[in-house]
Amino acid sequence: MAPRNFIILAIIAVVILVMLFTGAFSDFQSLKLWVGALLTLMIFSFLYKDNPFYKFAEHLFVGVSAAYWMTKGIQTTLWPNCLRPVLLDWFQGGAASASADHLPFGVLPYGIARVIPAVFGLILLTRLIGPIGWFSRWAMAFIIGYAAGTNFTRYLQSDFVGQIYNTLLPVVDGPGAFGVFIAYAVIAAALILAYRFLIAGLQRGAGAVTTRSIFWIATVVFVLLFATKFPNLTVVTGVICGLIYFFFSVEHKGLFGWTSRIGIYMLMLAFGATFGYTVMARISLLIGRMSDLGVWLGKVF
Amino acid sequence: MCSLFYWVRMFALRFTRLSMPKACVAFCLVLSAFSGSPAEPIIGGQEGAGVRALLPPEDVQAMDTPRDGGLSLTIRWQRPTGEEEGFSGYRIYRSDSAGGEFRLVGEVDRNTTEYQNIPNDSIKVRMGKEYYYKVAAYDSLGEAMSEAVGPVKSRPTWFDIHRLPILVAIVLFFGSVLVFFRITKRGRGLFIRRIAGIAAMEEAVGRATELGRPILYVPGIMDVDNIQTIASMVILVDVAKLAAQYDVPIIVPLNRAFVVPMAEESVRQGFLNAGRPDSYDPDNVRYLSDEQFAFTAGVNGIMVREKTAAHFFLGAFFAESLILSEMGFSTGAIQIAGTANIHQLPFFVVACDYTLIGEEFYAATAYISKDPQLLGPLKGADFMKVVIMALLVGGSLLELFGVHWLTGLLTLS
Amino acid sequence: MKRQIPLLITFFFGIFMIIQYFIPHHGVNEWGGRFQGWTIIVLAFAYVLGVANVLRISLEKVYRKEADWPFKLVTCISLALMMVIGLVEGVGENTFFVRRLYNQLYVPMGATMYSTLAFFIASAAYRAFRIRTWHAALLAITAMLVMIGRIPIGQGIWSGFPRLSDWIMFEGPNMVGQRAILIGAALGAISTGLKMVFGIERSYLGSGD
Repeated sequence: MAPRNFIILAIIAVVILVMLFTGAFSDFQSLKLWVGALLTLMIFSFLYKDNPFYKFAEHLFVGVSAAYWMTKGIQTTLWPNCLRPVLLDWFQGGAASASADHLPFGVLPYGIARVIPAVFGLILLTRLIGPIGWFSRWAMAFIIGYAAGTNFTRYLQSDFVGQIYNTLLPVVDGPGAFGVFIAYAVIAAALILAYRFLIAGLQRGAGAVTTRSIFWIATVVFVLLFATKFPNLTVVTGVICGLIYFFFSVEHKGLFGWTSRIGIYMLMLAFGATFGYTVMARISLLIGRMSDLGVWLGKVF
Repeated sequence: MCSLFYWVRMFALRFTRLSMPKACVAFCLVLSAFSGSPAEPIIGGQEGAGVRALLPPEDVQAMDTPRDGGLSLTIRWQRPTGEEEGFSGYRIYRSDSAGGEFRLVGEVDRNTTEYQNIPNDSIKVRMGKEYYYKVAAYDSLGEAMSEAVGPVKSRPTWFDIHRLPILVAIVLFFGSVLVFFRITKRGRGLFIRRIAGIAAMEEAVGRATELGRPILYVPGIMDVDNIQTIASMVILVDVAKLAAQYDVPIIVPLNRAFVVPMAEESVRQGFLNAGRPDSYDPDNVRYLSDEQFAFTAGVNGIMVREKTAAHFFLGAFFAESLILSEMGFSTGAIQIAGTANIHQLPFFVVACDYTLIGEEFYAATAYISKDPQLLGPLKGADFMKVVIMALLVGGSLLELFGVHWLTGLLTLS
Repeated sequence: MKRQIPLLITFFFGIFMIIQYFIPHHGVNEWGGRFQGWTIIVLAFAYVLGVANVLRISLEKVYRKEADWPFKLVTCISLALMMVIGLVEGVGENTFFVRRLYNQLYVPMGATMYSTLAFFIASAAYRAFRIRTWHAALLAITAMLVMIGRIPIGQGIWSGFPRLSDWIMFEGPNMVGQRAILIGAALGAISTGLKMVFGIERSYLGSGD
């Protein structure tokens, strides 16, 4: 027997012995705890390397979950909403005469309307029959048409008009802020000119590095102060620069390139914020799983 | 008075056989019943607070609910003048006729002065039928009812005027797309700037070919009713065509059952477009599970065991994006990701060689094919961006000067 | 016909759903709701295709005794058993299907996979903080500021960190960046929808054969 297979069998034997010794098979709660813990450890083992235990757990998970969703889909959606009403209609006098009521505008009787999704579903299943499998495109076309039409207006409302509406902000708060804005604009112009005529042309050397560092630190501080002093203007400008980044019709060069670069910097700031925010949530998931393992370990030892 | 006494005595002796005192009382009661005296306010009030009159709501109006489906009516009223907090709330009654029986339709608290009789109510509104409404202020001891208002009937609205901005946006967009179609038909090329992630797709497929290992294409974890999945299926055709041209297997694991036939069609079409239909292997389009993390476990297994050399994560992703991209990175594969799910982009940016952000992902198919018909909508989108930027600049300036016309127009409710 | 009819179907339902958005008439909305119900049912039919795909590929690998074929057998057996039990017994809260199979197999494995995110995010964070470009620097610095602002030690270092973290997340760069992406993605989604409804993009339907 190959050494690898021997190790695997040995691990399985040890686990079974420990389970027997700790009375895992004595009551259902203990067995439940052991099964959950073993499956957890099998999945975690993948973090080290792919191994037969992980493969077992993965394939078990795929099989169980695929069956779960199919069974749930049939029991909670297909049967009560489609198959059962259609069969009842059929056995109670036929679909066409099952209901005298029509859908609005008198186009279709309710009985026929109940049959149509079943027909589409059966058309979809022709996929399994090679020669007539192309019929399934009709069912696909229905879903895609519905999805495309629904998403079209949904995105227009919430992500297009809604976002534009939220960005329509008074760029400066009140007449008193105009003076402060002018002052900031003068400083910004000075920084731009300093970069254009001083910083950009600096030769390499310790002095150049120091000068550049001071300049960029000053720029960052200025930008932060500006953003906190004129938040609305920052939002409007940032969104416009972001949209310019997504502009495909013009090469990103010159002034257009600069604004596009500001846009991608804004996006990177957003990504960093999302990243940092998500780290905390992910750590808490691990804490939850570890506490379950701790309960199991407590039982074993 | 003497004649009155006479008539009371006659009434008592002739009709009631009551004694005189009792007859007087009876006579007074009968008289008061037909006196037609004005209705006194119903006596009510908080317990222990003394008896005081409850007043009915004022200025009750009933009207058709605007911009609805035709099955709803709105009733408005004013709080009774001088009425402070001495009552519990309002009850709304409805009848089919002014003098008919009024049935309770709903109840609201005392701070509310509007009620909508909607299809979800137990007493529904029928379109085109006339109704009368009354509103009563009530407390634990009684009600003060208003006069009946009506008749009012519901009518459906055929166009929601508040959604006009959306219609204008659609017309603008369609118009711009048609203009660009005409431009391309005249033979003028349309410039699209280079998008690094899309340009790298062929490089990724080529690298997989050099290593002799397959490509992995994951079209997201949402169903086909998500527009990102549909876009991913379209890109899959082009990636499959590249894979066929380079003679490298393409594995497509799927998280949703309905995407299976679409993915099969897309991959088969890609191989057909490359002129290699016989190379198409249907076993490489694999449904794993609808469960997000079972799917992720399965894809991890494919990456590690089948040693895929190029990974394409293009579609709608959620928490599993981190696991897939990190796992893929650890195998040393070249990775190209694209999604419009903002919260997953940082993980793709960190772990993948190229990331298509939002609209770049949707632009991929037009960019790869350079088909003029596909470039038209892309150019139309750029035109809309110009419109948006103009709106933002103009609208912000208007807001600065206190003119809220544009924000009012864009309010959709 | 093999392509024309699907394109007509896509066009009809797509245009109806767009037009339905503008018409509050209850009859039109009822039709829209009915179409939504139809899509849910048709999507449920697709589960049969999915499970058929899993079984076909797995059983083929078992039959040909390809690599890892015993694990494919595990998939097939677990799928078949679970399906039979669920279809016969039902999927109620107190059934064996839910109490034993779902709660004791499905749930622990799903929770474990979810928790592996913590390990992967550690490796992602390590890579994110290897600052090599301006983009990486901005991402790393912002992530650090947000993280520090959300833990007690951050407030101990400087009382302004939580406020700065909140500003970054909810009022500042995060909101701006997300808004730009959302607007761009909306335009992309709209143009994709347009292409689908009007049949400009039809490759997903396959060729005419």
